[in-house]
Amino acid sequence: MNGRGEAARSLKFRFATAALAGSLAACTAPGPAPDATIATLPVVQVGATPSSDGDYVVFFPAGFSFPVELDASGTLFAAETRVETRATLARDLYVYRYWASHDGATWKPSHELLGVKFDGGLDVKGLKVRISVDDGE
Amino acid sequence: MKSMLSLSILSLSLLSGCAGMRPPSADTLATLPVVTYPETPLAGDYVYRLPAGQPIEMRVLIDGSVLAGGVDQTVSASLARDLYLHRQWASEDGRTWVAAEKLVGVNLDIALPSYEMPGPGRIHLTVDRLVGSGTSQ
Repeated sequence: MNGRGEAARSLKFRFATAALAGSLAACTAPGPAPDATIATLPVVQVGATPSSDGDYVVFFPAGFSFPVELDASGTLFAAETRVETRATLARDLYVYRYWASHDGATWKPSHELLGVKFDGGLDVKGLKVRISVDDGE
Repeated sequence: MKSMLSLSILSLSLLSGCAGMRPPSADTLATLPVVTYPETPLAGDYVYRLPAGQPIEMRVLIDGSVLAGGVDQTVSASLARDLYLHRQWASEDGRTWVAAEKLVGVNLDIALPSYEMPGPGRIHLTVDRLVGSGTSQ
């Protein structure tokens, strides 16, 4: 076995992810999506101003590029680090309160439509944090 | 109301599954070579040192089928104190060792754009030195 590779593999300090399931469970919607109510609401594209004070559905179109702020802080660090980057949606996404939809007609609890997974750890290249957002359909 | 596309991974810890094991003796670990980041270990066992004040790379990846364009961003952060690592053990002085999750606490907070927060997404990684861990100061 290659000595360097063996050494690199042995230095894997991974983050435990057991807490993730509990965190997602806490996001459970209070019940089935109120389809009839949602169907009556105006759809407002992200960035636009709602025409009234009432409730509405937020629409994120495919290709929408949204900013993501990355912020690393804590007492282990000498200073806070903050950068801003962007991510782009592959599919249309409609969001209303606890529920989300890709077509504006079929709704699911957000945590079921969007499966978020976290993995991270420390190796000889430094700290690595990976967040995967997959379709839960 | 809290956004349903927001989740917080509380109290993520390094190798929490190893809690309860006895830490190695300082004499045992004192015989091992100390490899200091960003040096790469060549072969055999070793103690890995993350030096205070030196930029350490943190790679943040965000991907998945929901995204057409993800994030692959590397940022640097510096530690406030030296940190020594050996397998699941950690130390601030290279002599007194404790389970890593008792010395370093990791919290990751993720908020995707949503109905309640149609602005930027936010990823906040907090890494804290856990006070009262019993390590030498």
